[in-house]
Parts: sequence; C-alpha cells; structure tokens
Amino acid sequence: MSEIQPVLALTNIHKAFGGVVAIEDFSLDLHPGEIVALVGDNGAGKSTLIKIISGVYKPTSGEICLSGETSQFADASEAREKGIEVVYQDLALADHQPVYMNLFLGRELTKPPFGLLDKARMRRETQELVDELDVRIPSASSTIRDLSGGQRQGIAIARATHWASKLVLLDEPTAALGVAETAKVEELVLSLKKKNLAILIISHSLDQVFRLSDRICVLRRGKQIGVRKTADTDKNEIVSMITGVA
Amino acid sequence: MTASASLLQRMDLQRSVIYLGFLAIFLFFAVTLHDDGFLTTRNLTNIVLQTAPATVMAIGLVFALSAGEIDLSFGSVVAVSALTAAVVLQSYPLAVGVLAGLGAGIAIGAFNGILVAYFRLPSFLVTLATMGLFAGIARSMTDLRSIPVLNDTFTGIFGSGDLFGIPSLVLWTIVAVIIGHVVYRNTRFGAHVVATGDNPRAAQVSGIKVPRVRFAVLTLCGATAGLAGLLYSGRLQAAKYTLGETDLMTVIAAVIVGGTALNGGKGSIIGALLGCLLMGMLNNGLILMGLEVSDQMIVRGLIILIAVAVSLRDTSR
Repeated sequence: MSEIQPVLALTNIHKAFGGVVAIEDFSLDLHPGEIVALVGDNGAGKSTLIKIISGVYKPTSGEICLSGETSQFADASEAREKGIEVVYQDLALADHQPVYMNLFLGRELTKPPFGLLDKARMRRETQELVDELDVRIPSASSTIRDLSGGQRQGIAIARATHWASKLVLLDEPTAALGVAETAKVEELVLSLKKKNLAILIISHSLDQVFRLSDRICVLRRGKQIGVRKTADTDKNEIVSMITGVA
Repeated sequence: MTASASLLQRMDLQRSVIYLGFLAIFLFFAVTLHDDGFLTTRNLTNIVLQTAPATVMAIGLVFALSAGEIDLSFGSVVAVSALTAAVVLQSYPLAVGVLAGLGAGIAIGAFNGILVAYFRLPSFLVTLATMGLFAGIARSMTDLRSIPVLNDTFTGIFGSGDLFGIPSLVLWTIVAVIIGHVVYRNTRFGAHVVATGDNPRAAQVSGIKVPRVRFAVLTLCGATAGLAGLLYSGRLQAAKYTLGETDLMTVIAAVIVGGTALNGGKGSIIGALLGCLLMGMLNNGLILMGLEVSDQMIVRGLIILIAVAVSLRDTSR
C-alpha cells in the first residue's frame, strides 16, 4: 500500500470535549479507490471522527494529511473546498426545492451579465449526473419530498460525488431504506470506488460492511481496536472486536 | 399515484387558490356592486393605489417567511419611517428626508436582524417586542401629532405624481414586484433564503451563511416597511403614528393567501401581489357594500381564517 500516496492520513488523532475523551490515538490511511468501513457500537466515536475529518470539529491533537499535505480545516466549507464531501444521515436536503437546486445548494451556478441563476445549466448537469449514476428520478426538476427514501439517498450521494475530488464520507447511508433501495445505494457506493475516490462509510449492518468494504476499522469507546482487511477476517472476529467479548 | 402526478395536483391547488379566490371575489363584487361603481377605472385604480404600501411590505415579508422567520414589527416601522421623513423634510431637502425615512426602517430591521441572527432569539418574540417598542416611539416622537408633508417633489414621487400618465404608486408597485420577484427566483441570495427556511441545517452544511441570511431578510423587511412609510406619507401628504397600524394582519394574510408558507421554504412574490390586491379589493368592496367597520373586520377575519386553513393543510401533506 505504501507505494501510492494515501488520500487521507490520520495520525494519532485525539479529541476531548472538556474532560471527556471522545477519540484517543486514532490513525488510519485511506487510499484512492478504497472503501473503508468504520464500525462500532453507539457512542464509540464514529460520528465524532467523521466530523473531525470533515472539518466540523478540530482534533485536540494529532495530524490530518490530505494528499500528503498537513491540513487544518477552519470549518466544514474549507474541507469541502479541498474535495471532502459528506453524506449525512439526515441527508441534508431541502425538501421543498427541486433536485437540481439541492445538487447545487450553496454552490449555485450563475450566468453573466447580471449574475442570475443559470437554472437551465444546473438542470442539465443534474440530469447528466443522475443518468450517469443511474439514480432513477422522474426529472431533475422534481421536488425532493415527492421522491422515495432511496431516491433521496441517491440524490445526496450524487451530490457528494459531483463535488468530491478526493474523499466521500458516508454516515449510515442505508439506515432508513428497504432491501431493494439498499442494494441500489450499495451499487452507487461501489461506482464511487470506480471513480477512484476514497470512501469512509459508517454502517451498523455487518452484512453490508462485508459486501462493500476493502478494510474494516473498529472503534470501541473512542479507542481504535484494530483495522482488518475484509478478505482476511470474518464477522465473528469483527463482532468480538466491537463488543470486546472474545 | 406517481410522484409526478401528485406534484401536478399540488401545484394546481397551490396556484388555483389565489387565482380562483381573486377571480371569484372580483366577479362577486363586479356583479353585486356594479351600480355602486366597483368596475369603474377610477375605482380599480384606487384599489391599486391604496394597496401599494401593503404590496411593498409584503415583498419583504415573503423573504422573511421563506427564510423561516417572521416580522411582526413592520407596521410600527411604517409609522416611525413616515414620521422621521416628515420631520426631517420640514428643515432639510428631499434627498435627506428620503434617506432618513428609509434609513430609520433599515436600522430597525437591522436591529431585529442582529437580535435574531446573532443573539439567536426567535424572530416572533423579538419582533413582537419591537412592534410595541417602536409603536411607542412613533407615538412619543411627535406627541401623537400629525406632521404635514409640504415638499411637493416628495408627495409627487411617493404619492400623487405620475410618469407618462402612470401614477407613481402604481410604478412603485410594479418596480418593487419585479425586483422582488427576480431576486427571489433568480439569484443566489433568493435560493439561499428559501433553502435556509426549508432546512437550516442542510443550508448550513452546504456552506450557506445562515445567520447572514436571517439578518438580511429582517433588514429587508425594515427597508420595505420604510419605503411603505414614505408611500403613505406621500399619498396622504402627512405622517402620523397610526400609519401602518392596521397593516400587520392584512399583509400577513395577503402573503399567506398568495402561496407563501408560514413555516418557510416556499413563497411567491407574484402571489403576494395578488394577495394584496385581493385584500384591497375586499376592503373596497365591503365599504361600497355599506358594511359597518365592525362587519368589515368580521368578514376580513373569516377570509383570513380560510386562507390560513388552506395554507396549513397544504404544507402538512
């Protein structure tokens, strides 16, 4: 693995809120085209870690390297500018707005001379993107709340794909979905891998973790218990790592 | 049914409420009040002239509601702005008076905005308080006295004048509606306002400066109320603390009837214009019908109730 530069290298990340230690001594490398699953019980620190990587929290100590460069994100917008996108558990979609406005939320395209919104271009680029990713929605102008859970998740992932140049963080992308929709979203995640993006995914479904990931990283109460190659481990080992019961 | 079919149904309902309501009431008055001169050009123009300040205020309110905020203080701002302009115009030239009047509105709006956006207080409570505060200030500014506005240029521009035969109040309405509509529908600011009201967290994680949006919409409400104050004092050639006093309910109702959601994320400037004209028509018609003031209030209240019911039923779907 060392011959390719990692997209993201976390070294000895430590995060405390006041006296409460949320993450202690976490280190992980993420490579392009790699899916790493982050697993652990509730309160293990998975979401905190995502927030540290996406610039929402600053680590108390430790180093974040993005493509070999030491990075300190002032806030989430800065992490986004550097090519890190997050698909949040609640999707962060504006329900009454059309799909294309959600795709370009906060980054709307404008046209000269008056700097008015270029809705035609946003609609067209959205349509191209959803077609390419095979997210089946009635149209780029559909309103979000008229879409199914799977379609919404598809839009949230499509948005991340569109803007991410390096890394996509997925926080429980299929927690609220049915079987068929879950399969569709998993296909989408795998297509991101083909685009050579690095992916860090939080999931409570071990079946899913084993279907998607290349490596599995286990957290327990803020401690990094270990990282395994998915091909070299099995569910029993991961479960015992998560629970601490041998 | 399919998603697109339900979308169509909802859009139909949304649009038809204001258009059908507008048409129905217009036809009703046109028939019943035909002999009382409802349909005369003079009367119809009068409706538009009387509605102009409300329409201007409604534009600010569409932005505020769309961003998930509300402004209850704009009626008081109207009085403060009108009185400020009138007092300043007594000893200073036109431009100073206009700037003072508008500036007063913008300053009050910005004051609301700072409390809401940066002190994180709910806009409902902040503007409920400033509504009372500035109503009191308007009363004490001139000891309840009415201040005449004698500057002919001012009363021409903001009241009785015209350009190419179009009354200035009609022009103000058209210009304000066009600018409001374009900004709301076709600028990044408009998109950020709607996104903020729709899902503030999504807006924030998408890099939209949510506090700045909240500050901006409340300041805009102050500005439009300030302009409305100038229009009132221009038309009446005087300013008094009672200006704008009764506009709160009318304007909120007009905006909601026009398809703007009370809980943010959705709105329409054109709808607000139609809502205001509807309210103006209603006032006019009820007066022509010879209804007592008390009966007018009852009928208006009932119609607003129906409007709110329709609006809320739709958003809870």
